[in-house]
Amino acid sequence: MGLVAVAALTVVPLVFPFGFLLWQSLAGGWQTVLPPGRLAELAVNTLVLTGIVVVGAVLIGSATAWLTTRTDLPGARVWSTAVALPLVIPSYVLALVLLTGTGRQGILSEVAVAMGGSSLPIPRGLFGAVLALVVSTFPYVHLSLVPALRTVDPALDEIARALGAGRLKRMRTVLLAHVGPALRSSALLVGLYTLADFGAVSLLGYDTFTRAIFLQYAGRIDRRPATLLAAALVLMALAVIGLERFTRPPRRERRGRVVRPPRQHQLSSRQRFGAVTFLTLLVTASVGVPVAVLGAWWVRGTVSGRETVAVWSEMGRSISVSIGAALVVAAIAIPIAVLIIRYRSRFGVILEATAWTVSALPHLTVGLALLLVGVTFLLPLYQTLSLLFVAYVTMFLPQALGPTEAALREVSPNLEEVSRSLGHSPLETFRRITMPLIGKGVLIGAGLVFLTTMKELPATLLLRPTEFETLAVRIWSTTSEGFYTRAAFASLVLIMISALPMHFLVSRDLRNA
Amino acid sequence: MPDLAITCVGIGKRFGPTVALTGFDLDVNEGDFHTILGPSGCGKTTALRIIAGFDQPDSGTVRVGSQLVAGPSLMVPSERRRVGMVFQDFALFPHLDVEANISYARNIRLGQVARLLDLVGLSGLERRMPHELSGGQQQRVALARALAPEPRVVLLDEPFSNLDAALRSRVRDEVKEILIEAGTTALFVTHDQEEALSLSDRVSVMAEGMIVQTDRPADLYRQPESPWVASFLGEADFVRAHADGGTAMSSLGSFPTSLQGACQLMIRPENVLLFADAEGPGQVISRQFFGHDQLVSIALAGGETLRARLGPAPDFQAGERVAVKVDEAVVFPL
Amino acid sequence: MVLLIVVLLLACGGGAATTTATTAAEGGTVVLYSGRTEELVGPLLSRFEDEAGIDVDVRYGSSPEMAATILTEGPDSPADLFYSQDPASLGSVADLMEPLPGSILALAPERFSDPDGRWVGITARSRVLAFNPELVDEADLPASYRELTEPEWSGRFGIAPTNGSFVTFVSAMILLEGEEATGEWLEGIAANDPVTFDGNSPIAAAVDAGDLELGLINHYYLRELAAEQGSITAQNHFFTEADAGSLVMPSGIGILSTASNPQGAESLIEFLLSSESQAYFAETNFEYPVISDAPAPEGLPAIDTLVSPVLSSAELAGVLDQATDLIAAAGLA
Repeated sequence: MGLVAVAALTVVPLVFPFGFLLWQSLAGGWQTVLPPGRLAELAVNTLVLTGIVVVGAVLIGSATAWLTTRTDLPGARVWSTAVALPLVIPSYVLALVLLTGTGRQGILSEVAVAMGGSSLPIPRGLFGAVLALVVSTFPYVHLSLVPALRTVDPALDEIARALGAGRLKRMRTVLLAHVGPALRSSALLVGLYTLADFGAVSLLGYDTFTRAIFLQYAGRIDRRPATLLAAALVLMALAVIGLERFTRPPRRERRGRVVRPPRQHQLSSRQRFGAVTFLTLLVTASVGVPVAVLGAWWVRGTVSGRETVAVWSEMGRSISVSIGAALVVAAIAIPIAVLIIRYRSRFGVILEATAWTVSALPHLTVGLALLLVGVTFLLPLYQTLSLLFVAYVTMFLPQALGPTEAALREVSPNLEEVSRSLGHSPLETFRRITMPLIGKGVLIGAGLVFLTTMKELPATLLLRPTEFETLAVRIWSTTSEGFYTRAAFASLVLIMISALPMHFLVSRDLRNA
Repeated sequence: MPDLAITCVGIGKRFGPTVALTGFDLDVNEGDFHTILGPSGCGKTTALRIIAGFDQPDSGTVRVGSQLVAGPSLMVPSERRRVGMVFQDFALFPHLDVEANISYARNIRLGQVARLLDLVGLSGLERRMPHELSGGQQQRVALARALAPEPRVVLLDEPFSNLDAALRSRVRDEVKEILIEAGTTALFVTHDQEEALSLSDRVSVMAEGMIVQTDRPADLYRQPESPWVASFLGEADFVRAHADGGTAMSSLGSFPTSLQGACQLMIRPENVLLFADAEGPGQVISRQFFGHDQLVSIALAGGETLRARLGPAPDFQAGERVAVKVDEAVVFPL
Repeated sequence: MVLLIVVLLLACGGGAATTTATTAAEGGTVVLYSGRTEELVGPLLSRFEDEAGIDVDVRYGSSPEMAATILTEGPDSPADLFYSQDPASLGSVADLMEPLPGSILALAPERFSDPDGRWVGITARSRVLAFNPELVDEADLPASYRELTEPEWSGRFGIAPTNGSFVTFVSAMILLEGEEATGEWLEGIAANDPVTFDGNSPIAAAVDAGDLELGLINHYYLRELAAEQGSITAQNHFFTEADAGSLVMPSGIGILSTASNPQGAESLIEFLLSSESQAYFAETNFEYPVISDAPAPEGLPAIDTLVSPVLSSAELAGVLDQATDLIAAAGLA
């Protein structure tokens, strides 16, 4: 009973805001508010960016995953972790890196000029957005392909070879068939990420839905245009999710364990040199350069007497709100995981699908929808941390749900039954048996939520309580106001805080693969 | 009339469209080692889970001792039934050591853990973690843990099937001894006939969601109530006969019966003797030689086949004609 | 389990409540919705907190955003004050504001305040053309913003079409030259390859860095940049025609009728209009003070020498959304 209540308490808040958003946007007679041509233009811009970023991220991510799992590349494990490092740098910080790195006074321009070149132009618009977003997203492709590539059964390849299949055919029938689902889902993830990205496109001035939504929101007293655009973006995201689901081939699960690791491709010394060069450049460009540019800009600004404001209170807020979100989301994920795994309730399945779908919707629209709901129905919660936490639950529940469910699946129900038969109540059983056994999974989920909350910008921007500036919000506002020195410092702090737990999670992820 | 440790009356249970139990009745005597024997999928594990309180029956009642624990609008939760449970996978708590596993139960008498460790022969291994134990040791920890709160009955669900063959018979004997020592009623579920017959005081044979026969092992084997039970419990061949006036007559001899008219004889191979006889009614079809014995299949005049389990000699050859003597047979209607 | 979550949620909600409650000082708290950025007004507000013993809870955002928030919140708005960067946003919520006492209104000249006395001007800002003298000579600059549609300037200038100041500038253009002419000009601009930004500061930085030659901004952004960088190369150019290009806009503040701390709110306005604060605006933010005895910002022409069309905030507010629509229709936002 209690479990169903939790589920109901979760599904309704998850879905209702979006329903309200759609309803609000239609209520006003949309053509009068927004010319259809403008909608089409934004849709095209958004899709062009999404397409390019997906292709770029998949190409780079597949290359790194293949090189670090299927070849005899020296130090493959170290490379595999290094390649995932850009995950600690939010896309809006990468935008800041581009803004502080290029232009006449840019750090990279100065380096270029010192080396006899000319200063680099600021990559505004599509080009800059692609750069920032590809760097932000290719690690996701890498992380999801590595486990898939590690578990290709070499026997399949050998059989195909014995049957006379050529290299290309084997690649298609054996390798792609096995890693296909991972490739697909990571491409979907990258696509949704790009569709949803707000910070990078706004700061680099590429006109997508999210940028337009925020500009309409901030620039007009009439909220309808922003609402309408947000509704359009929600529908677009749903269409992408739906399209992926409908065109997904049926899942063919291969039973049985893979006994041997897959065959390693022997790199020639020239190939090895090429691979190491590629990875070195990639890691340098995606992590080394951003940190160096931010650091150099900050030092240069500070030395030349620019005002830098300490961001310790922002840091405190970011950390505490992220810890809070991690605890709340993890706590809500536990009963839902129990509902899904132990009770195999249809309701649980619906809830899970809802949670995944809703979490895939752009955070800016989550923020806007909850803002509308807050102002309209929940005034006491409006502008409080509670509403912000509702947003975090909406956006991040699956991140905690995934590892918690996986952990719970590993715990035999017999253990809980034995405990009951030994005289312990269900609650006591949960406390003494289930919880200690799923603790690690819950912790991992909480860690993921912590990190994403740390980086989250658009929903926090819209829903934060008065005077509650977090690091992300501060980086956003100082960058868009042009106070790059302060933004650079805040960004460095954010990266430092994220780096440690991220490293722990990523290296664990790759080790377990 | 001994006291009953468990009484199930008319239990029914469905899982969606699948009927797991229907009209399931069971009496387990206090102090007995009682076995439910049935093929996989017959619902025996469901029955055990209902008695343990993990599942709720759709109909019928369950009593543990004299306490009604499940019935219409009544469901005593597992933790208040005082029923111990040993699972097939042992279900030891992986994060607790041996002692913590055994002492996990809510109400344990002082000194009970030490007593049990001694009883199951695991003294000195208190600090071991479950994954550091052998299969047999894990089994004994699971048993000790189930016995710790002094349950009214211990339920064991296929407890030996996870052990390898070499270990199995030894662990079986140990478990039996421990249970006798502890003086606890045990209800045990298995699909293995040999296990059921060798361990139990009484055996209930189960098929398709209900108990079809309950008896002492020897009675069950020698006096099965149906051809199905007969075949399920061991090798059995059936030969046509005709009953008249209290005797069933066939080419293999006469056996007492209360039936009348056409009937069949159930004959176990170990009750058949063969003699080389060129004029005999049977002809050897094949022979499987096992060393300590042999199983000889013969064709009878009417085309029926019969098997005989004999000592290693004589050396029967396929095609050889034999005379047949049947010591014991059970008469069933056709 | 349910209980646990409820408790957790309550704890969070409670946590939020206590953080705001613990900061309450002896003079109480005023809630300020600020359309001006924290960089511009934050230090001054902290000074007020110290001096008056009144806590100021500030919610920062853009001026229209804050106006929209006040409109949606209606009578439930927690805000006591609305401090806006542009008169149009003030105009749109003027109906929800309480007329200010004459003593406050008397501090600022009438032309920078609401004719009905519901808000008062705090500073004045002029539209300017920022330019980089290393790239373009002041003598060669366009005589009017209208000339920016000419091919000569293609790709050489920056604008912030979605920023409140630019929208107010377009609103003024609508009032002075009509909707059609304004629309044509915007389309001409859009066709002339402008570099668009979301705010004025990045334009100032880009012009100063030499990444751009010209930028349409407000006069004080270069000075802010100088404060941050130490020295700058870019300069302001004031247009000399009395049209939208030379518009002088007040920033203003008003008290909401639903304010829970009107006394505190009034002291904050009085503080912002004190000679000390006005001097701060002039010295630190480089904005024009509105009170009569304050000195003009260093190195700027006196406010009286600036030509500016005279437009009321109510008029500007009336065409605000029209301006936004025209900007969007031209493909600039």
